[in-house]
Amino acid sequence: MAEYVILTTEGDFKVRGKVGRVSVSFGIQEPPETEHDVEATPETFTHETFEDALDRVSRPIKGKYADVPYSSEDLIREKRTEAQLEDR
Amino acid sequence: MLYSGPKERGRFVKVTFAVACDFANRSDGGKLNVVGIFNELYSTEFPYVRPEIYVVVGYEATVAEEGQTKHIRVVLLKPDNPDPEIVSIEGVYTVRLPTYPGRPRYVNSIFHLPQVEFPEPGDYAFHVLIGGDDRERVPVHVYNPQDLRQE
Repeated sequence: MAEYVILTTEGDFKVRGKVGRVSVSFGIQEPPETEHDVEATPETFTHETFEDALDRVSRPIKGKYADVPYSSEDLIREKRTEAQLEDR
Repeated sequence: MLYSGPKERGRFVKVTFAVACDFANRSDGGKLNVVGIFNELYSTEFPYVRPEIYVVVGYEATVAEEGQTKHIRVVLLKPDNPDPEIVSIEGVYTVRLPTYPGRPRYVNSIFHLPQVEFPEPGDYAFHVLIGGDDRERVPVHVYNPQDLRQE
């Protein structure tokens, strides 16, 4: 059982248990530099950003479920099918 | 005018939400991206080592709490184990000035836990404790699909 201390911007955090190298981060929403808040737009949240996030999510199941599709189009198609099945 | 009402005064930092998920990060401006929230996990092999879990917790501190230090603890428990603690992360957080005077300070934290080991199927939960008080609970039920098929 591991026991160690990690340093964060907010102070030291002690970790104990059967787990790898934990990281902790604290954050707040920053005021926008422009006059108005900026919503997520295609420029700030691109297809690549989404795919990258999906790739990271899919990483744990790759190998064991290598045949599972995980592109955004596949995910949307899968979710639509699930929703249709639930509606029945 | 202080934003904190009579019911809020004297309360410690409030936990506004807590989730376990596959991935989380912050975009520019500090907005949270949270992907793949779950309460159930499946594995045919035990102990099951989950490659990555992110626990995301949101807090709200009133203006009256500025400067106070809070003991924060996120712990993964399996209540029916002789030793229920699987993973524990604890530290101290100091409430800073809110972004806008008189308004609450909204803070979020991302706990990235790689290689979490679940010794057996069962009912687990992440508990978020502030100052020793259990403020939020994220249940994680771990199943063996083979067991489900036999039922």
